[in-house]
Amino acid sequence: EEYPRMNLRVAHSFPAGWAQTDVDQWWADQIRERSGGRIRVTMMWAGAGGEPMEILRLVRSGAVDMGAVPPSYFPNELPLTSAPNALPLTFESNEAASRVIEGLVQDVPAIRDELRQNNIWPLFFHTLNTYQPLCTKPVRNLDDWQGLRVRTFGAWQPYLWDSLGAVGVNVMTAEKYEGLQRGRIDCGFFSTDLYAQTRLYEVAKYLSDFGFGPQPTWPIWVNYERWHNDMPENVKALIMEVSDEARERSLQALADVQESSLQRMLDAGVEVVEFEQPDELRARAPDFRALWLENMQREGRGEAAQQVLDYWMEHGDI
Amino acid sequence: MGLRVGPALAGPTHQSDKGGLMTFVFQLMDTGIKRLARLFMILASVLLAIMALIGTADVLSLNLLGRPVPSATELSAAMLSITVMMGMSYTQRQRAHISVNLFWRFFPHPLRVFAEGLALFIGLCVFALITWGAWELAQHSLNIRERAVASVRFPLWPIKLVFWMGALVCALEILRELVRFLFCGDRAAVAGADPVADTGSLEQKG
Amino acid sequence: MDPLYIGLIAIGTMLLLIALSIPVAFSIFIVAIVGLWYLGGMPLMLGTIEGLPYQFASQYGFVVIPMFILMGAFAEISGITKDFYTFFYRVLGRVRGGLLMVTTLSSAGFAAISGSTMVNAVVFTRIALPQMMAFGYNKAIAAGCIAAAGTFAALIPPSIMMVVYALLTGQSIGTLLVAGIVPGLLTAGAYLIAIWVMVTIRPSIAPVPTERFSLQDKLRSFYSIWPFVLLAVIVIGGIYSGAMFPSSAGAVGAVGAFLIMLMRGWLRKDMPSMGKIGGAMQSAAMTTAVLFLVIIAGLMLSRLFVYSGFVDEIVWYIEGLGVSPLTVMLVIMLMYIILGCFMDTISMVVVTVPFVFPVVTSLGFDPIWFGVIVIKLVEIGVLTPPIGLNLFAVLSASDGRVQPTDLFKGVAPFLVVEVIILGLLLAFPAIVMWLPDLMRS
Ligand code: NA
Ligand code: NA
Repeated sequence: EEYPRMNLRVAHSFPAGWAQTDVDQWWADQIRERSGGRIRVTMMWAGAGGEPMEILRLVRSGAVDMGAVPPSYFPNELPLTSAPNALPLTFESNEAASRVIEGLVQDVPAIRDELRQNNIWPLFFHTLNTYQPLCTKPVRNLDDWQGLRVRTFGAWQPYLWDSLGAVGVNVMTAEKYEGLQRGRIDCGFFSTDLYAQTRLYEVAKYLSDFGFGPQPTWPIWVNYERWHNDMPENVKALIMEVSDEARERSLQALADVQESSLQRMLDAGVEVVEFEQPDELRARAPDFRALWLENMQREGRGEAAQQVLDYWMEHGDI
Repeated sequence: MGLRVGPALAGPTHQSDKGGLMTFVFQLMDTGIKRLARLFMILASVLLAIMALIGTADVLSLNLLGRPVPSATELSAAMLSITVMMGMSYTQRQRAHISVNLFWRFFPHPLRVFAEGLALFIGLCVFALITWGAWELAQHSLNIRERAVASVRFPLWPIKLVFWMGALVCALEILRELVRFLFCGDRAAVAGADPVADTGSLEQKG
Repeated sequence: MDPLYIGLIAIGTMLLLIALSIPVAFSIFIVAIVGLWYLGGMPLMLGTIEGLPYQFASQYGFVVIPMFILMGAFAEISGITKDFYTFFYRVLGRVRGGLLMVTTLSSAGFAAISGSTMVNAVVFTRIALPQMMAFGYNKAIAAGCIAAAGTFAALIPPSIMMVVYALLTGQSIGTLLVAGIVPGLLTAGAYLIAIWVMVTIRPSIAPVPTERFSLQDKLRSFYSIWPFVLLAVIVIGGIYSGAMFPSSAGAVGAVGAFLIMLMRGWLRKDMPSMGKIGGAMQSAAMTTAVLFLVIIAGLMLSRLFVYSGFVDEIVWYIEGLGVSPLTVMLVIMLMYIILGCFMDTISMVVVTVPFVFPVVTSLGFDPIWFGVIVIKLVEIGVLTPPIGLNLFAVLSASDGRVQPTDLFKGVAPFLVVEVIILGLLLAFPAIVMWLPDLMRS
């Protein structure tokens, strides 16, 4: 097969070396290899090609060919697509998270409209392993949550901490480590693989076994117009083929890394603390999807949000 | 009368225009932009103080009351952007931007004129583009009624509008300086002048 | 075009524009814009211009910069810095070269609350230069010492440069700040030795003053340094006790400096006027605007280097040399010293670190150690002509009392000390890593 010569630049939000970004690199290498070296994909990691908050605009305007940034960074632009990426306690498994987000894009008109309006299109989504608090003291029950200072992010996590009586604290990435070390925060809020990456287990030794659920996260975004109108069919077919494989690889890699990083933390002396009141916690936390729907209704987007929710409830696992 | 580099025509052009429409327009532009630049500068320094107060309140609240001021970090960050941009025009006016005048004293007169004009022209290009970009950003933000991604979702579009206005006033200030340079050969309104060098030399030669 | 040529043409054009006295930020900006247009057409150029300035000007991590500038401005107009200097003067003034040593020590002390080398240089040019000249000290050495000692601000925490480095490389700000303490103190000690050597060889550069102070005078002036100590305790103690993040220390320091200024003014019936306070706030806002325009321009340029492939090219080139890591490190140091002659500090760090950092870490050097080395190299950069920010700061604050050629001569001995220290840090990385390692374990 004869492919045109292309050099595709990808502005990526995250650094190389994570489970998901390793897959992104594999994806780039495979496209190059299977096109006989004619299609080069250059990754610009960790914001070097554009800050995370710039990436959507860069892809939309065609300034870069592709970008990788989680939709939840853009609740203003992508109120629908960002929801599965932003709402805690809404998935049991990475597979369900992946299935729901990919299905929403394929089958739900409201989501497709939103993506078309923003002139972006996702090739394949990654997921995040379940987020578990890693704290400097054991958290066994709801009482232990009272006044606990937890690293918070975005617009939805604060509802969670409020409902548990905990305190969400904004911490810059570079300050999390010493924040835990000096007691400015009590808990980090990540998945085990990200704790391993950021070495937070060196300063916080109690990993809660309660997970707030996996979630879909960043896809590789392409420009909607270019992808649907200007991309040669054989190139599109090749990229989609590799993307389908990458999606599966990403799920497998996340399952593997979940185990290996937990082992690494245990080896470093981390203790897994059993949370004794998981059902009580779930009951106390808000129903995030209902909360989101309410919010969307208030903004006059209730119908579109309902479309998303219907699909999500049918194909999800909670 | 063509567009010629100012200093060569400085005296006569300036003289013949005295009391004319051109002078009136220049004066109006001068005072208007000057006041705006000054106002924005005062606002920027007040914003700095407010940022300091917000940051301190955040620390005190977390240590004394056990919880931070909601969205304090996001608000400070948003305020920083307008503090920076609102200070630009006055900074330009005061010639405070870092430049290296080490070789200035060796420049022959035509090169000085060229360098001055070039500095203003490049400055105008840069700020015209920044202003355009800030406008695109503000317009988009306004269209979607953008709000911060934080626990208190305060509106971001007014901040982006002010950011744009800060850039715009700076672009206007540079434009004013460039116009004066081209039509009046006004040395005092020109960037890149060496405060150490003999500032009289240019006028003498011109 | 070959990425290497794009990069070199960009650097060459930029230096040419800077040499033409075009403001540095404009020179960098226009080169970056044209380069991005060349590489990716209008979409890339406009897309970058639309997003980048606001994104970087609205980063929480950068808020600390104007806050420390504001704190320094309040500390200066309140007179607490001058009290600090007076105390050391009364204690050490009668030692030969004592005022030079006093300047070194006070600047190191002031570095504990100031994050900007330029602020230090300006402050001590105003306080120490008139006194040293009044006592017949050699003007060149006095001014050189002030400019050089100003660089402690970058090494002894808090430090704007360290925050910039940490943000660019994703390193822990706290660890980096701690890593700067020992090298900072070591440099101050080396300056004292160098001053002692200089005044021993040439006693004429530092006559001994005849003024004597009683123990009572000394104690009284010791008592007057409490506001300075209090401010340092608030900022440094706040960070190390866990009460606040380094990123919020600037805000607390600015408010603290303001309150201390009011308290001191009230106690001494010497309240700074509203006009003076407003002026200090305004000059802080102006410095912020100047710095951020240069930072944003520098980030545009590094964006150009990333998109052009210049960064990868350099990394591959150095990796492909097949020489030892030490040689690479020496090449990098040389590159920084040469760049430091022409570029201002923040843009130099912003432009180079993104592509030098991966090379250095891939060779197995510690990222924190390299951070301190970069700060050290940047310090040398602010002291080397033709573009040296601290030299400019001293020149502009001296109101024409010091000429550029004097200053270049006077700063030379201190540059020699800096190079020796750099060699020590390279030979004994433990000087840098000892304290952070202690903190980690
Ligand atoms: Na400092
Ligand atoms: Na220099």
